[in-house]
Amino acid sequence: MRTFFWLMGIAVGLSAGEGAVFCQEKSSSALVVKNTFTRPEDVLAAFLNYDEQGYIWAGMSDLSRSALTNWQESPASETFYRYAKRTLGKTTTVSASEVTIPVTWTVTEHRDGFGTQLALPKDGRYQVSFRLKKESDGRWRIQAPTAGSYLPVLRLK
Amino acid sequence: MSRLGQVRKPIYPIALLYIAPLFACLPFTAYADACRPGDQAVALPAEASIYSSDSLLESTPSRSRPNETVCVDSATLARSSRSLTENPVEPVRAYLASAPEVPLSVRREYINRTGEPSPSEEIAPSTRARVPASDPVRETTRPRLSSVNRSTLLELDPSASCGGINLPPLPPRVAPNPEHSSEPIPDISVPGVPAGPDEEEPSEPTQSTPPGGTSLGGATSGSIPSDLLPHLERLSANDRRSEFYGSLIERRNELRESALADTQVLQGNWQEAPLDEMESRFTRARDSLSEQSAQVSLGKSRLSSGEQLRFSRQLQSASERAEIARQFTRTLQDRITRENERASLAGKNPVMNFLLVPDKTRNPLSRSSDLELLFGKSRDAAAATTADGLAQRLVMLQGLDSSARQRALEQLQLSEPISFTLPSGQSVDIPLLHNGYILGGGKTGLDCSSFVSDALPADIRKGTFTTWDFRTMWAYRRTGVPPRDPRYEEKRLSQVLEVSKAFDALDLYRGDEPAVGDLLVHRLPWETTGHVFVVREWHRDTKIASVIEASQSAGTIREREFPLSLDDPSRGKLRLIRPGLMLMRIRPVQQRVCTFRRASDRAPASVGAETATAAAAARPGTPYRGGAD
Repeated sequence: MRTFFWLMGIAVGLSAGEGAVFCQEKSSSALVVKNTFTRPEDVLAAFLNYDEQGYIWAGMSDLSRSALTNWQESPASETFYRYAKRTLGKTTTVSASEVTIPVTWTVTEHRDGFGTQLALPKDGRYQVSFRLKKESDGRWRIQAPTAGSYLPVLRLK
Repeated sequence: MSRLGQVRKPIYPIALLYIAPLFACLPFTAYADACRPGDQAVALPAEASIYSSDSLLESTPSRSRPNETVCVDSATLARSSRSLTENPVEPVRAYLASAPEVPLSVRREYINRTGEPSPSEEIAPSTRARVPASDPVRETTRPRLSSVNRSTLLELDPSASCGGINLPPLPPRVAPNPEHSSEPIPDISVPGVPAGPDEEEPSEPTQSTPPGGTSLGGATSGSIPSDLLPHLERLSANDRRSEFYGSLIERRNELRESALADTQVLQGNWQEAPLDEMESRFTRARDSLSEQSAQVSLGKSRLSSGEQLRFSRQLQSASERAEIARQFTRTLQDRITRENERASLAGKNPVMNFLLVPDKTRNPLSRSSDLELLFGKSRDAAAATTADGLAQRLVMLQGLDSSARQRALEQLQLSEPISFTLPSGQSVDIPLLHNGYILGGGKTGLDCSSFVSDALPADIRKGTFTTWDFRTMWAYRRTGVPPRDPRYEEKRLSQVLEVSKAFDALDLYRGDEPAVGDLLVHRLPWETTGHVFVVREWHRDTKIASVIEASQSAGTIREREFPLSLDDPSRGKLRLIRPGLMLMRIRPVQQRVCTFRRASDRAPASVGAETATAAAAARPGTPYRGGAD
């Protein structure tokens, strides 16, 4: 019986940890007004959720940009990917105030605003290693990649 | 990446630094005989750069470029060192001031324009010359050599007229008199001035070029001092680029003013709205924007699918903003209600009633700190052309009832009515607010290419282009062969190649430098993004270009600093140009009565005229003939 409660406790704990990210991804609103996240994974999840809606490609809000990133300007990308599957890698702690989280997308489409189809990566995977930094206000924000080098990845529809 | 890979990576550039000078002498030996008798062929090695321009032409067959060799006569070489510190504009001013045959309007124009050097004059270097790094006067010589070279190779056609202004027959040789430049110039009537536009096309000059000068064939018998021609040519080219750049700035300012005016119109409709009505307006905006987002996403219109997606996302984002604003307004109302109840129980006046009457100096939507975070504090819509500014306008417009919305729409400038055919067959007209950027242009917007192409001279204004297209143009101009990738439709390819003739393709990795009005295209074949900027300023020391761009993602025109080198600034002159940059310069247009041609471009006796014309058209600095070539 005690083992059962132990397992239940572990299961609840795990689901709570994952849920923080999952809920953010399933949130009805992707627009982030304030950064109230305590974990870097949550910040990244909010960013990815915002991006997959097409909001970064369509013109990133300064509100969300300053809340989630340290970017000084909004990305200005002509093209974007669509993805079918996304995988968040393991968080690597670089220092007390810096972590990296790799993200891999299985992309299915690469196109621009003209509707032109562009070449996909050979293995169909697009990988970005996000570096998040804890700022003086105690909030985690995305430090890398830079705004100029980030290519938006939209959800497949 | 493996550890080994990280160690190996810097070895290649270092090796190239040593190997590059060995190959630099090849063009010299190969094309030394391309110059005229008496000229000296100066082969100038490429600057040490790990990024060869050929790397940009990954799929393009490499071809040697004879005109990389600079032909300079001995007298010119001697003059070049003497004129290093001289003001290049001064001889032109002096000449024009002392030439009574030149109409007053022309002389005043040049003198006024050159009274103080324009930014382009200061920063526009020559485009072709490359000087050995070991040259002690490298920095100062480089801008001169090309111009000096041109002075020996250019000819002016008869009845010279620049910028549409007719020039009279010029005197045989007028010694520049700088003293005259400051004196008032009398208006002198010029007998026998050619009719200009009605004049016949100048024919090929038959007389030989006088030594040290250039010939003026046809009706004229005099010559323009050869040392003035490069300056005249530079002034003409700079004028063309300055005009182009000025048009861009004008467009940007118009756009900002329009966005600001639209914001103020819509804010006026919200100024008197009580707080309780705001919630219903936000609700209406949320629903309306969400519905429109779906219609734009699913419907068919004259917009491209990508652009529909962008507008759809913008509408949806604004819808989410309206919903958050509605929640903030609800929270604020609840708070006011609680405070008032508490005040009422205490027998005091309501303490927060002032919030129900918006302050006219503030943004009417920002009635609490939360709403202020969402919409901004100030009425000043300096950021009207940002994504947030657009979202605010969308929320304000769609929050109005239908009659008020129609009235507001009639006053908005940045609103593009687009008709969408829904999957059900129903057709709906949706007014799409924008920040000035609409892919494909439209009636009220512009896009990256139209921003550039609308400002281009009319003879080049022939379509819209992506950075891939610009890269294709650049590669075609450099090699004469269109790259294999991307695969174009035949019609599109011919259009791209046709327009490419209006540009000179310059090579930043071989010493060319940007000038005001140049197109700076950033596109790597193996990467997915690219962009086109227009240079507004070039800082040679820091290798930073101030650029202006129409950004699809930003949805508007913006200016920013674009570093051409990614190296650490402490490396100074050793900083290398980042890969993927292509510089395109608008070629001087060929006026009907003013033709600059290189003497070396003329066909040798054994070569046909067509070959010479084709060679001339492919060389930088050669006037563009409006598609005739």
